[in-house]
Amino acid sequence: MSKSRELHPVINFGLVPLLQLILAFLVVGLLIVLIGENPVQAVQLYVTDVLMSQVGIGQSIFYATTLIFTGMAVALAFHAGLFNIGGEGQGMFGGIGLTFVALIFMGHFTGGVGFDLPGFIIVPLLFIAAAIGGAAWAAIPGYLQAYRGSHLVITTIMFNAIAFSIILFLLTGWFQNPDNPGDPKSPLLPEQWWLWKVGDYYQYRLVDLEAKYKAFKDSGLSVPEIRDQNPAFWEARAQARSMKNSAANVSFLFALLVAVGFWFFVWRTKWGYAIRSIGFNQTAARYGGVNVPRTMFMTVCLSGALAGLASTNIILGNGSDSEHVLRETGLVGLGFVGIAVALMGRNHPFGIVIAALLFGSLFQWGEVIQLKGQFLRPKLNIDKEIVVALQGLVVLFTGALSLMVVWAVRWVAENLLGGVGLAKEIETGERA
Amino acid sequence: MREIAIELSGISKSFGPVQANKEINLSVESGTIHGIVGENGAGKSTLMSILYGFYMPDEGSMRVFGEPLDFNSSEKAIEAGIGMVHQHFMLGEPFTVLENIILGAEGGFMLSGAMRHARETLLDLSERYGLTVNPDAVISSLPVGVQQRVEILKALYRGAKVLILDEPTGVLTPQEADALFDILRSLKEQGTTILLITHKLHEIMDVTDRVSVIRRGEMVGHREIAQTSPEELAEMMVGRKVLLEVDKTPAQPRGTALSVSGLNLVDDRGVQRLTNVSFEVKAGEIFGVAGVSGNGQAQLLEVLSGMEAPTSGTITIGGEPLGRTPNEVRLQSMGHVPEDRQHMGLVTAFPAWESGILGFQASALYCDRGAMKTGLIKEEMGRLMEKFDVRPPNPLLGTAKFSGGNQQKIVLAREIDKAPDVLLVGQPTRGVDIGAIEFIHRQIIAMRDAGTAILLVSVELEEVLSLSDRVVAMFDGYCSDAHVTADMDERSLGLLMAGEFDRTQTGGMAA
Repeated sequence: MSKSRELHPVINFGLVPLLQLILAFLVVGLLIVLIGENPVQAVQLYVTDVLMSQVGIGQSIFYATTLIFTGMAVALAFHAGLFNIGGEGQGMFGGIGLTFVALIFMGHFTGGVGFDLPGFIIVPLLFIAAAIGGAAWAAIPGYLQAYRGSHLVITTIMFNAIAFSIILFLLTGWFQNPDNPGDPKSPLLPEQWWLWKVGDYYQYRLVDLEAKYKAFKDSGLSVPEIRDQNPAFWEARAQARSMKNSAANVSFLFALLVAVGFWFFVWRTKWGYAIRSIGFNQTAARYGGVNVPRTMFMTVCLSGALAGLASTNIILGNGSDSEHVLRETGLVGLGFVGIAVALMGRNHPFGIVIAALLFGSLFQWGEVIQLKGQFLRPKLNIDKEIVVALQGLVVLFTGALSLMVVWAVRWVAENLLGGVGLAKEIETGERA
Repeated sequence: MREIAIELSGISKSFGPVQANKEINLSVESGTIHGIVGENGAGKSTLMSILYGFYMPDEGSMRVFGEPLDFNSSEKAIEAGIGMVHQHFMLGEPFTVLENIILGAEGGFMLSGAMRHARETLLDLSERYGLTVNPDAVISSLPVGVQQRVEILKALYRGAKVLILDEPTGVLTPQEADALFDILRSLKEQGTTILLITHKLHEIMDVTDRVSVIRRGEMVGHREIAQTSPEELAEMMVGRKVLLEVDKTPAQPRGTALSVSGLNLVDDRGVQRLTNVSFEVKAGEIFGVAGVSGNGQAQLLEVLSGMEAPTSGTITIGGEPLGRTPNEVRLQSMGHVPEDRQHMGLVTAFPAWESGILGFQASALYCDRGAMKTGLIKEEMGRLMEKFDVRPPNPLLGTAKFSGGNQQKIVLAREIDKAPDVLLVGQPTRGVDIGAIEFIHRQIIAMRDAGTAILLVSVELEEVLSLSDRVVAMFDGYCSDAHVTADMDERSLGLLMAGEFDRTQTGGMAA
């Protein structure tokens, strides 16, 4: 006889993750207290400079874009019962594929003789190259898992390390910017390939605003006079100046589209059916005519392609004009955070988007703590790595200890609230 | 009047809206064998789990040998002298018998003391009850019947005075089952009380002294075995009159639909699983394959359904060579109801509508250029579930939430609805309640009468004898000659199942 107990979906997908998150925050708060700093101050920064600030929101969306891809990469493999933790390495290879194709068009390998094609042809090609790069790097561990039974967790960990060596090798050699030897990065990609970002709009507006500012100054007004006489103008100029590097870009919309596609693929196509069937029960899948090793292999490749696509946002969608390059930092750790995103998002694209936005904002919080903490009175001396601790704790509470909260909620539901509508138990009498 | 070993009064337990047990009263006299029968989902296992301390009942109380017992822990149940032999054995396969016996009762930092003590006790128990087991044998090397003895010894080693056995004969040969019943009788003679949970009425009639019948969570009645009949018990279980005999007309066999000759299979580990298996199944007949579980029937079904490639031999279906993958075989109009619905026939984590297309997910029926026609599939499943009396007929419900019998009906509906020319059926009624067995048997016979060639694999002797028109037995990968079922009885088929047939020549072609 088997028995399953279910929580109401609102509780299961709403309250439980929220409580898990709050627990993680509480423990981080304790950590901050232990290192002698003020956790309230740190949380205040999260509210004022991330959640309530335009710049903060923009940066959060930028990081979230990458995380949606890396989160889906983990989730897709998970639906096939596989744990792909090679998102970081596959993301690096996505970047390598993208840069390789970009450098061909730029004539990097051919003494400056490139092809001049319009951006609307090249940019899609770069996206495809990124996906292929990631898929190619996932293909080897995928093959080893599917046909040789080598555990994907082990091989993808090793392949992350190998990817890091290869990217350094390329950036100090074939891919290196000849104008800047000694700095391991690729040449800057041409501006017409950069993705449209929110900052572009403000840069465009800033041209007019700065001209107007100059006109005000030329007419003999002092700065305070300009500010006091034209508050609307002053506000607009300040906003445009702070937002001109905002990196939230069009690939966020692309990520949302891919998320919808992910849902359709996994739950509405025969391929998704095959993937989920091998994830739940390989014997039944084999009975149902699914080629288990091939499906596994293809799933890992697709998962790698998603991780590879994550690099497009970092390279083509970067907020900083000088950073549209391939760097050895790859996905700056967002490949690993994708594991947490998938865990917290319960491997569903909707949950992944929400979790990615959350983790994106946490990532930005780390930046803010590091940059702004020094200027606060009193000083806030916390390293941005505190966010890594927070991410780890979120993984701990949503993954390893997820049942702890579920049990607590169930206990409260059953013992204090009488269980009405919250916890329902269903007996499935296989043998009674 | 004997002492009362176990007394349950007013036990109620509900899981949410489902009332699994309702005011159950039960008293078991010490030194008797007491049977508990009921359909699947009737609440037998819930009741036993309450007894053994797995579940806390909502209401009610329990006394063991007159002492009140708390419900909440298995340790206390063990302490009070209750032992349980689960349907699926709880043994460490790589461990020896002795190691398994002391598992959880090591009683000290070093193992050697416990081992010595266990060895002595084990010898003593073996002698007293005729439970002979080599204490140093590794579990995985023992036949299931012996593994079950180890489970019983484990319970006795812990001082069990009341032994609960949950569907103990599901995995045994008739001979092994008889041996088990001998053991149970000798345990009874020495004063042990036994609670036997089963859905097989002939076992109840055979071995128990009294029986209690549960239906839909309620105790319907208690009977002295001497004063009841299988028919009465079946009626009590189902709540209406039940046909225990299968009602069918003689077969009208036509041409050969499936032919197997010289089939050999050596598995990945190099073990010969099938040896020189040959037979023919004709359209319009039910061809029974009898045999104790694990004698090659599972492998035979895997080969015939295209899941496993034979090492040598030829298989033809409708005159063509058999396809090499399950998909190719399905296209040759072969249906397959697997032996194990939970591990092969269904993805229990899927909703019913998704499980209901397993194997046909890529067919044009349900799939248009890769996209599944979900609306149409759900509608179709709803219709099929009504037609096959699946309860509840809700295609959105998770497959795992259906009872065993209803899960089996989902598999049957899926395979039969495609009207295949050849149908492989493995253990169609394993773990299925009486009401559903009747229904499933009728469906299979209707298929036969419509001209389908049916290959029926079953370890239930009665089922093979009553359903099939011709029958073979498998033993150790060999297949006997085919016999007309009407000429066979339990004894003669039992001999074949025990390997009493000529294994030198190609079997299966006679009759």
